[in-house]
Amino acid sequence: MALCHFCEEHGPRVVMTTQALKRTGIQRHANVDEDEEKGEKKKEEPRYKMDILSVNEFGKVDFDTIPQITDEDVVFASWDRTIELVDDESRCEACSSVGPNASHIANDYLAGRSYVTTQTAINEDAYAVTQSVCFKAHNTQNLLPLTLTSLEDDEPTPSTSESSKTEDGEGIIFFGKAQDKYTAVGRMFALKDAKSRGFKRRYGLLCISQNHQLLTWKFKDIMVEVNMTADLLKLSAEKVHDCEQEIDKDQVIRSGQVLGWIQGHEQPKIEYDTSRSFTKIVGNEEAFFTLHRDCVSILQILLKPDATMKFDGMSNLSVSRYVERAAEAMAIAATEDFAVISKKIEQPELKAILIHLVRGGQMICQCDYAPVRSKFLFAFSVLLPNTLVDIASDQRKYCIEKNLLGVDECVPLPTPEQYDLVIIKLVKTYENECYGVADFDVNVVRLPEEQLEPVPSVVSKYLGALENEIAHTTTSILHKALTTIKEEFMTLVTSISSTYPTTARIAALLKVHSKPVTDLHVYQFWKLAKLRVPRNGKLISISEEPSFPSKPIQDDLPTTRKVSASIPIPARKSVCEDDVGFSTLSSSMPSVFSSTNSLPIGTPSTGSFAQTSPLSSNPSSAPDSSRRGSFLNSVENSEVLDQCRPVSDDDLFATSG
Amino acid sequence: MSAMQPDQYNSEHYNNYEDPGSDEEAVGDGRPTIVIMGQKRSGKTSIRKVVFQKMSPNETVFCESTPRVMNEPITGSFINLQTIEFPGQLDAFDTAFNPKEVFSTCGALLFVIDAQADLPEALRKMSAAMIRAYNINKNIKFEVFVHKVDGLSEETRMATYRRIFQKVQDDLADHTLDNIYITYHMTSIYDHSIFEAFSKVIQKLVRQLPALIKLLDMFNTACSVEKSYLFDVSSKIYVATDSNPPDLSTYELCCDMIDITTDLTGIYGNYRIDTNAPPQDGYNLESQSVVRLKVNQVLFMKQVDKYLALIGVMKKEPFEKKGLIDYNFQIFKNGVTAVFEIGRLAITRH
Repeated sequence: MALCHFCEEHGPRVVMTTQALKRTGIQRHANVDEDEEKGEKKKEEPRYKMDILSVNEFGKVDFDTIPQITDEDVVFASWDRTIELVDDESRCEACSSVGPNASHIANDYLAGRSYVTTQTAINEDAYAVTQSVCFKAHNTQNLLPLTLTSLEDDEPTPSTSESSKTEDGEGIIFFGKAQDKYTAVGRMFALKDAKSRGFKRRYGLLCISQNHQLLTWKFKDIMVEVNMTADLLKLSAEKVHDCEQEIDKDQVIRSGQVLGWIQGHEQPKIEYDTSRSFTKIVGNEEAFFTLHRDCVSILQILLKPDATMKFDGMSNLSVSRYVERAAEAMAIAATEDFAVISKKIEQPELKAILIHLVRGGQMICQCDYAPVRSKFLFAFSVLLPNTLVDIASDQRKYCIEKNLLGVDECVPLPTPEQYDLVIIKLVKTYENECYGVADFDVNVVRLPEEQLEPVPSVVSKYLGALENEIAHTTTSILHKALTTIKEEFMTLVTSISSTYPTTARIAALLKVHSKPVTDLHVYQFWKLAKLRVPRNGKLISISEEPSFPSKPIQDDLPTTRKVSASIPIPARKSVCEDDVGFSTLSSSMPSVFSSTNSLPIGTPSTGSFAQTSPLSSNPSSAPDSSRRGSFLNSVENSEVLDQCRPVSDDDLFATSG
Repeated sequence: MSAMQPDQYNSEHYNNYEDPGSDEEAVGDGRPTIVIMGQKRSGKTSIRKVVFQKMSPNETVFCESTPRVMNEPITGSFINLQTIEFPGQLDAFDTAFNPKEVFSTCGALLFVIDAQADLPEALRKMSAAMIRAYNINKNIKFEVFVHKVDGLSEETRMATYRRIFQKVQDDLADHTLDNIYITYHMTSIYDHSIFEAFSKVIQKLVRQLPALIKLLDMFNTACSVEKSYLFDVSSKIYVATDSNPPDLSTYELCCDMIDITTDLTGIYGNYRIDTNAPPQDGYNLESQSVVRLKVNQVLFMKQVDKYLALIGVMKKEPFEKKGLIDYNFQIFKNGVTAVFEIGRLAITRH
């Protein structure tokens, strides 16, 4: 990624470059020949040492496989900081960004990549290419229209759409040079500046790659992000420009408002400042850091492996491994959010919420920020088996089928008499627009009226894990603890359901093992995960005794694959133990953690429940709830609620024996 | 005053001033090219916009810096050429711009120098550009606009002119290229000097110029006209004038007359919606106007074709013989049409 501009003094210049570099265990001097490297070892101290302005990391604890050399060194990418960035071009303040030998760094340990933002490109090839692209971008006469990125799939592609010679010189460029083997896409735009000729400065945000297919495939994704960044910059610059025009009223003729009566000889000379820096134009001293973050995000989008694409040299196994690691990373991030949320809620309320959730109750999150709702609900999804999580974070109206539901504050919700719900409202208390970080307070609006006592064992264990100091040393340990609790209980549910078909027997078993009776409520819900029976949105009443099939239920099906077998649904009637009373509906229910969205290195303007470092990420990091299967069909008939015959203690002891 | 004889405008007569066989109209789309170069903020874009896009000189203060090479054809005008403006920050001879292709089809290289700015760097760049352009195409006509002279006194203007002239000649002599003929113009967008300078540049690119001059001379003689111009109404550039020495004040009068006529035509003009419709400003082939001056002179304007108009200055008394003037004008008009028709045929054959 490169930010370029047309300088009044120097012509087209690359202001800032962000490159993605692979992380390897060996540090190499990027500008040193291999032969020289193998030869005499340089003994003297390196003359240049890169100034690291910021380092942001994602997944270091869990995915960093490269040992740190020393405590002082920041190990990143495949080069070290002793390299000199050579720049042939003369620069003024307008052409400068982070400085001649400084950089912003973002390390993505999960992807094994580092993103380095410098004033000029790190290696000579990239330097030459960015210069060439910058030159060509500013000299392009025909730009593609800005509406190109909002086209539907059947609309013309960049190669077929008509280019437009826009008067203001703004638009999209898409070109490549076969002999230099690069392709570039970008957005050319103008920022208002009260002290430049024509009151505007030309900039371009470019994405350059050697992989033409990659840029073509992800053209729209890239341009959406690039356009968003450009539009935000334009907005900032316009605010600064308007403010300056307002304040400096003596120079109001600069805006051309009183042209009519000015004679050529009497016109006062306008003071230009051709070397005005980018940060001053947009009115943000941290503009380059913000831009670095956005460029990292765009590169992540670009470099994220897509299951439908084939990359040269990358096998399907690598892609699936990447996806698995991505899922794990998202789960750890959700656990971290859950830990922070749990501290914001009072203990009794948290207990009630957890009890409600593990029983299959519905929790509603009210907040006007969809990404924040998504993060909040996703955090609680770590407590439930994957197949029981039905999350929808962006609903426009109330929906009973989802157990984790996110709506705007204005959406009407059912009354307590209608449904027993947990309603939580998120209120923003702090926001830093520069870093894209915000804090929200968690307000519990409604809790279920029925309070289970004693607390189910799984909830007790969850609460115990949250209070455990060891679990809080790192998020991954807490995540493992919660996962272990969940899996243990799931194993118990599986074994019970196959061995003890009736509720009474299960209750007796629990009593024998000194488990709280309330575990039965949780068991009733969690067994649906193995049986693939869709929820009906209501809590299952223990007073109705379900019947169980005599045949063991196939439980070897992976949770992430489609269940294709289907068994006819029996009508509601008295069924003995020998009847097959359950149906397995075909459904596609991808795991919560199998989303292929971008990795959350950080999230701009999405609200944070934890002290996240201000890095960018794709705001849509939460799983796409629209892809979830719907459990709407015949929810009443899918559960066979039959009366069971009373179980005597003899039977109980006989079974347990 | 006498009536012009139609026989004087036969094609044999034209052949004395035109050699169709050696027509060297620009290749490609057939448009001659004017390359505009100069230091940054010297006024290149302002000149282009004021002359060809009718921008007010005051508005040029708010023109933004040119970020790229501007290649614009001039349409809606008799002047069928294109201008290529190179930003001052870029090197026009960079291989990325393919200078050989640009300058091989270039009719004139116009270098703009800001008379109020630092000269040495501009002169050094200009000399280098001229040498390189000449090496590519020896038929290029070199024009230097010493611009923004409106803010200088007469003495300073002359001193600046002498300095520029001497420096360029010395540089060219160092490269044994002192045979290159360079024309210098003192210009400003705040008066008519820029239009006159551009008129002279354009005239050098009009191959039919000798024939047009002859026609105008004969018209002047027949109608007792003191001075006549053949104007491109859209840009206020005169394509040809008679052999009498040009007078800037007369030229300004003619430009003002065009402005008035254009404005009035815009209000009261008769618009036609067909392929032969007049230009957007309302002119048609029957348009004409007369301005009677206090100094016993008359300015008259008669439309030759949809882009060209003949403007003449004459005494009041000869102007009374309108019938004769109209007749002679018709002959003149036919002659001009024939001149350009022959030129078109020559291009087609070539």
